Parts: sequence; C-alpha cells; structure tokens
Amino acid sequence: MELIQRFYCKTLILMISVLFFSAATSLADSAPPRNRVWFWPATWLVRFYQTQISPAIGHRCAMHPSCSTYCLQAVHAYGWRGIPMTADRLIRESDFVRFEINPVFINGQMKFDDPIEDHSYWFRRYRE
Amino acid sequence: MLATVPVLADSVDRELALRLMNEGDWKSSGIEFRRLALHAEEPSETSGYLWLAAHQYWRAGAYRVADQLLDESEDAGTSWSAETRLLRAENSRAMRDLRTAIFYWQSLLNEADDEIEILARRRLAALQLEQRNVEASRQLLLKSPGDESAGLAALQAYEQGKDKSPRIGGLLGMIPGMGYAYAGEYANAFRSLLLNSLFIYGMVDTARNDHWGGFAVITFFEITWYTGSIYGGIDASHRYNRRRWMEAVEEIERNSGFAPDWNAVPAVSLKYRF
Repeated sequence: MELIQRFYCKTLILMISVLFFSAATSLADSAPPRNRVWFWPATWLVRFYQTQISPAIGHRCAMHPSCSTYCLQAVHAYGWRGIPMTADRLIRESDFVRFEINPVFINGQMKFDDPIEDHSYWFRRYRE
Repeated sequence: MLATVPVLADSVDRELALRLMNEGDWKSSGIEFRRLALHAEEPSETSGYLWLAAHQYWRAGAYRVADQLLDESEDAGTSWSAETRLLRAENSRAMRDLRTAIFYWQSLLNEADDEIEILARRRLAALQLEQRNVEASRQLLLKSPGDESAGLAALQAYEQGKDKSPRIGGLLGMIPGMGYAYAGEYANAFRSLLLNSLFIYGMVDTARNDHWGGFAVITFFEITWYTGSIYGGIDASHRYNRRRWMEAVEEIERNSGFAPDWNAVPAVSLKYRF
C-alpha cells in the first residue's frame, strides 16, 4: 500500500513538472528558438548521440533527414512538440523502409525522404 | 571575322546551358541562360533566354529567382504571353501561393490552344480538390476538351471515400497505438503499444524495487512514447487524408506537364505531355 502511494506521488510530481515545462515553453513560443526551455537539453542530448554514439554504432538511419537531425529540427522549430514528433518518427521508420516510401539518393546511398514539413503543416495551419 | 566571335560565344554558351540541364544542374544552366540574355541583341531573344533561365530556376526549386526572371522577361519582350503565365502559375503553386496560381491558370482557360486548356483545367481541378471543393473540380474536368474519364473516376472514388478525423485519432491515441490503428497503420500501432507497455512495465518495476532514479529516466521516455502515440494518432489521420487526396490528384493530373522545345531556343515554344 505504501509502495503504491509513493508510486502515485512520484508520478504526480513528474507529471506536474512536465506540465510546468510544457506551459513554460508554450508561453515562450514567441521567443527565438534558442531562448526556449527545451532547446538546450534536447540539443545537447542529440548532439551527444550524433558525436559520441552514432559514429561508434554506424549511421544506421534509413531516413532523410536522419532521426536525430529530425529531432533537432523539430525541437528548434516547434519547442517541446518536437519530442512527440520524434517518437512518432521512430515508430514510423520501419514502415518507410519496408514499403520504400519516397526513395531518394543521398551521397550515393538510398534513403527515404521524410521532411519535417510533411508532419507539421497541419499544426502550422492551426497556428496561422 | 570579329563579328563572328560573339555568335560563336553564344552558341558555346547555349551548348553549355543545355549540357548542364541534361546533367540535372538546373541552377548552373539557368546562369548560362542569363548570360545569354545579357549578350542577346534582339529584345525577343533576351526575353526568350530569360524565360528559359526562369524555367531552369523553377526546376531547381529557386522559385523567387524564377519569379524575378519572369518579370525581367516580360519587361524585355512580350508581356502576358501564355508561356509566361503558364510558368508563373506553376511557380506560384510551388511557392504555395494558391490564389495567384489559380488566377494564372484561370487566365489560360480561354486560350485557343486546346493543349494549354487541358493542362490548365487539370491543374485547376487539382487545386480545387486541394481546397476540398469536389464539385468545382468536377465541373472543370467535364468542360475539358480532352479525355478526363480517369480523373472523373478518381474524383468519384475520392467523394465516396471518407476522411479520418484527426480529433478522433488524437483521442484514440491516448490508448497507445489506437490512433495509428484508426488510420489503418496497424504495424505502427503494434510498435507503439509494445514500446508503451515495456516502458510502463519498467516504471512499475523500478517503483516496486525503490529505484527512483531509474523510475524518473524510464518515466521521461515513457512520456515521450505516450505523447508520441497521441501526436501520431493525429498525424496518422492527416497522413491518411493527404494520401487519399494525393491519389486523386495524381489521377487527375496524370503526369501532365510541359517542357520547352530545345531546338527552338531562344524562341520559347512548348511541348505538352499528357
């Protein structure tokens, strides 16, 4: 019983923190991307992956732009919304490879084109 | 002897422009056509070369430069020509300036040339469909001098089908994977469900074992997957609707288009493809 209480309590604290950050970033949406709350942590995380992990395991993303670049572009352009956009991209990646959707040749390698604009045009429309 | 030098230079530049175009280097080809326009003595030649340069820039995706070159082409020669309006319409569409594109395509409907009218009607029908105006799109195709049976059938199929609601997709996305399943993306739905289940299990397990550091990290990632499921449900519905619309547009346009007759350079004479 005590465990369940602690579990719910900590989850609640985490949720409130996330909501607070979301609200803060929504308010800061009018600020330049570099001033947004999510900008630096997300950028550092992805840059760490790109410079330290990706060279070791190989550039394995079949998409263009790669998932890490997509994440950076999404966070830079849309703040915290870039996080679910990246999760969605990671879930969709296998389908693009399997059904060979939008093939393009980048540096002699076949990639599958999936620009950020294809997945943000509808909420850009709502914002406009 | 001296008088032949500029003529020779022009033919070399023209050859280079065409070679660059064949290599797919449209921007460089456009630069060569601009150079030719600067050398040209006749206003009609200047205008033609500038149009060709604009065409290359349009192909290269440099729409603003293409627009500017079309202005210069009109200043140098005939204004309001069908060829210029045609390229302006395509360029405006590429820039997503749909109102301007519609204006230019509509201005081409009254041209004596049937081929221009067929192309204009197909493009206008596609643009009307983009604005979900199925009836206007159908009327445009019905009045076309060409055979538009495939486009009309595609329009009917589009009308009989139903769009997915992004709101419902988002609501269903609250149950991991259901938003994807709603839009018919079952593999994505399964992946989303699996990832969310694994991370929720991880949250429960770390909490049970009092590993609150691990719990915080796993919860952060679970929030990412979970919000991804909701966003994915909305985006999957938009993807479904867009795919349906694009299939209909492809059938209406059927790869129709135009290209300059390169043997007629510097005169602008178009060949149509249906």
